[in-house]
Amino acid sequence: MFSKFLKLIISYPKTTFLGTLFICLFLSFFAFKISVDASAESLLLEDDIDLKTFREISKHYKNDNFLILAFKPQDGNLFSKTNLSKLEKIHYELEKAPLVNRVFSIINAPLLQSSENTDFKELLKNIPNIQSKDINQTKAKSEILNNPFYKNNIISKDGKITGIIIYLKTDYIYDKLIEKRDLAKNEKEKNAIRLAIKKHQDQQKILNKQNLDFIKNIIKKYETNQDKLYLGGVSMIADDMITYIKSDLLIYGVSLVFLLAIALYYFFRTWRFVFLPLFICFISLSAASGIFALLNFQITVISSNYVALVLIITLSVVIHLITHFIEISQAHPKAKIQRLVLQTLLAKAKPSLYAIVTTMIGFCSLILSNIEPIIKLGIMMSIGIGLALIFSYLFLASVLVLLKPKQYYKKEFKFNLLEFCAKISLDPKKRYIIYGISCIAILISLFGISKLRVENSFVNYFRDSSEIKKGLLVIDKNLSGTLPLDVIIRFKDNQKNTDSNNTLDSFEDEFENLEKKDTYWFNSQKTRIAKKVHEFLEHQKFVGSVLSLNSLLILGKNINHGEDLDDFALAFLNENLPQNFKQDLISPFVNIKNNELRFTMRIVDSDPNLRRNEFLTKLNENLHKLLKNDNVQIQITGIMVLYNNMLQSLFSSQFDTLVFVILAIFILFIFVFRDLKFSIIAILVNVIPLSVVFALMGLCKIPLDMMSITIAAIAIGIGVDDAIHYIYRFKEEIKTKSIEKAIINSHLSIGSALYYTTISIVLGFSVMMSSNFIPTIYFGVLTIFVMILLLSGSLFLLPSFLISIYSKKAKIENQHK
Amino acid sequence: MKKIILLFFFLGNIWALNLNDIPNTMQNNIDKSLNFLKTQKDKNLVANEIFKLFDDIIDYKLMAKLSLSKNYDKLNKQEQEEFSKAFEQSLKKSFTDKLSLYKDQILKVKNGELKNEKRYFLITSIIDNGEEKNIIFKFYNNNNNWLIYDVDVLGVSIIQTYRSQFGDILSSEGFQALLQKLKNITIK
Repeated sequence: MFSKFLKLIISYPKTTFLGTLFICLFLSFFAFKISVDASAESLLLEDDIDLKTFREISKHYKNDNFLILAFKPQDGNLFSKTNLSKLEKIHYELEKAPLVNRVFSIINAPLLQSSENTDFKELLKNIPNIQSKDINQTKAKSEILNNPFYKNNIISKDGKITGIIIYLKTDYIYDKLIEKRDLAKNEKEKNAIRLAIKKHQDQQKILNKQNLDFIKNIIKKYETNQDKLYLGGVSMIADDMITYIKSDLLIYGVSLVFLLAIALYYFFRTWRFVFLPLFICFISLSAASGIFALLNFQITVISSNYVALVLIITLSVVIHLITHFIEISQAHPKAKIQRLVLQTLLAKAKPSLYAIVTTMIGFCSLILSNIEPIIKLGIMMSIGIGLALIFSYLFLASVLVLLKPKQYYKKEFKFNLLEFCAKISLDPKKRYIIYGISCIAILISLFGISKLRVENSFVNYFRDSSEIKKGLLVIDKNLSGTLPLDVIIRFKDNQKNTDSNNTLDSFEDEFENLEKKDTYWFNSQKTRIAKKVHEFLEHQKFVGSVLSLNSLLILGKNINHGEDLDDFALAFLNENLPQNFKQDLISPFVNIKNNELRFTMRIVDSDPNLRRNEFLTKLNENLHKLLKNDNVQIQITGIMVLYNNMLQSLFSSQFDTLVFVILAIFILFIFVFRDLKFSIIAILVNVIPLSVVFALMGLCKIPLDMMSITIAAIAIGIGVDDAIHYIYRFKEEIKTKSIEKAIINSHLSIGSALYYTTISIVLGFSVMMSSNFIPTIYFGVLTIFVMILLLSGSLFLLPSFLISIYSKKAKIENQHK
Repeated sequence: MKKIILLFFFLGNIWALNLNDIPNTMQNNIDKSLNFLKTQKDKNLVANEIFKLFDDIIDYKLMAKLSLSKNYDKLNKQEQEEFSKAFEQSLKKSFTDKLSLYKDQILKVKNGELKNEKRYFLITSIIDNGEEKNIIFKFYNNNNNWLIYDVDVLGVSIIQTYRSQFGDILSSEGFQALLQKLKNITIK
């Protein structure tokens, strides 16, 4: 059936070629519509309870999303007239940016202790700032440096760097759409809303970009050789990630063409086997991208790898086909080209199909991760490589027939490396050394893997030389952290007094009703807890700045001649404070309607000792201990929690995923090889190299992140191809030849294809090292490493196992004879 | 003996504040108080004079009870008395401390509101820097003798703020701590 189909397409090469080309071009047309999504939320678990809490709590408090612009004047005198005037200009220009809601800096920070006017009531009516006429500049400087709201927040401890907090407008439409999606009754409705969300995000992305460009232009305008400006914040990180992904995609594409072209020319010494594989790779990629665009998939930080992966796997399929084609062309120089092509395609059909299916299983395992972009990568890769196999067959079947036949050449190694590898395995002594090394590798792996951990540090995602890293470091170190984290303390409603006391009942009812008024929300219990939690948080390692209701209480105490504000004063202030003052100093930390207090922290993301999961777990435990008698609910929320959940879920599912992949591939191996021993050794030669890579990560303290965590599935998927091709060939050879000859022949034939594909993959992934995005670099380096180890596994360990099995078999057979 | 009791009731009725008399009595007492403030420099003396005027109208004991809410009944007799005494002293101390802030403002009775047959709110207004602000004296009917049980200053009930404050101290630190703190608590 399959052979008839192949004969048919070989008989009509022009129609096959043009038909396939038309389909590819048609699909490629949509590829231009594929969009890039690097928003923080693109990486989160859609059904994470913490994400729902995060969104819910974001609604309770205004001004959740912000950027920080750090200003560092060369002379270090922030409060000089020149610097203040420059800062003032920057402040007011920032207010004009399209998505900016409010700007908060030392320019408009309320000052209550620096005015010549000392009447508090008067001050509240018209709160002065550093620009006000009756402000004493020396007092102002001291107040800003010591104010609990300002120090470590908008001004560094040494007073040399100031932070301008740029509050961005809340995207209410997005929030509503998310809410709608969560409430949707069926998947169809959900999908329709998802489309609307995507459309809205696309528009928002443009606006966001314009906003950031506007701010970056202001930075350019005011940044001189002397004065430095650094921008940081979550949306800034997302925007820079998009820029990096886009530039990475472009670099991958261009560099891959050159590197692969050189490799292909080196292997085959003919331009047609340079252009043909590259053509098939790129047309398959663009057709696959078209399908992803039609499926409304977006490229995220993680799924951007599909470009390199699809190219590499397609190339691997094509190289195997071409190598075999050259081999049989050389063996049968007079055979008709149609026959040679047919034989190649038929001979490689099964191993290629099995190889692709195992790779697909590897990628499909990512679907179990529960993380949208990783699931998408799994689906994208499965579709991509499926298409790659189909297009490789269709194009090779047609183009090889259409091209004028010629004498083909395949690189032969002067010092035959492959024969050398085969001979090592054939030598019993050296074989034991190979087993010895493998055992040591297993032991090291067991130790190294136990040291593995997952970590997600935004600051460390970028190269030291990148502007964003420099900015994030300045803000992290001088303005107390970049990564926002909130603690929410929710008070439970007081139990109604049920003790009956007739004479006081009517009074009790009256005061219980009065208590419900917002005026009395601020009371001793809340301020005591606010103080307790605030001071606790301040003393936590890795916590930079902490702001809360307690900051206002400290401010109040300062104004109140060092005495704490009592319940009357608090109620009085709540009733009589001007609205704008409340908005700045109370509403970000208190939500009366929901009966909760919010403590906003910024975490020092660049601290190398920060173990996020441990930190969050301990923080949660200690907060529960601290407040165990206070009848409150505690919640820790923020992007940091969500990313941690994502990584932890990924890490915990990693084991399940790997077991699934290995079992699935093992079952497939049993089906393919129809032999349990072959299946076990094929799995072992893949699992050992993979474990070594993870062990290395554990030993070198390279944390698993959202990209490197996908290496296992990808490497197993690609790696088993080598084992399949080798064993398949070996089984063919052993039918007619001695074990030594079968091993040497397998090495020389399939070994060269394995060698070419590994070299190509290594070259392909080496492009990733040019990325500005550190996880991509690690991903590239580690994949290269695992690929080389997998090749070694196939060229040393696999033949060793095969020889041991066959030697034993031969011994048993001899004994029987 | 019966005569003595009769005399006591008679006297009681003489000093009882009737509902209709509340605005006038209060305005009189306020005017007298403000006059003391203007003429007398020693704030402690002024405070004592004012207390003399208002002591019969203010139910300190009830205020103390209300400020402890349900916790009051949990105290034993001795503790209740101890607390009531400390509460009255604390309230008076707060008031005395605040007298120095007085700067010739005028306090006028505006109107009264009969909330129900047992509650009457007397609204007085104070002009401070050209701005009118309210102080509400809350009365309850104690056998036709109307007594103050709470005062609302610029929208904030004194008793309500005491209730939350005392409740928290009692639950987190206990009664003795509350007594101790009461000596230091003054309305800011």
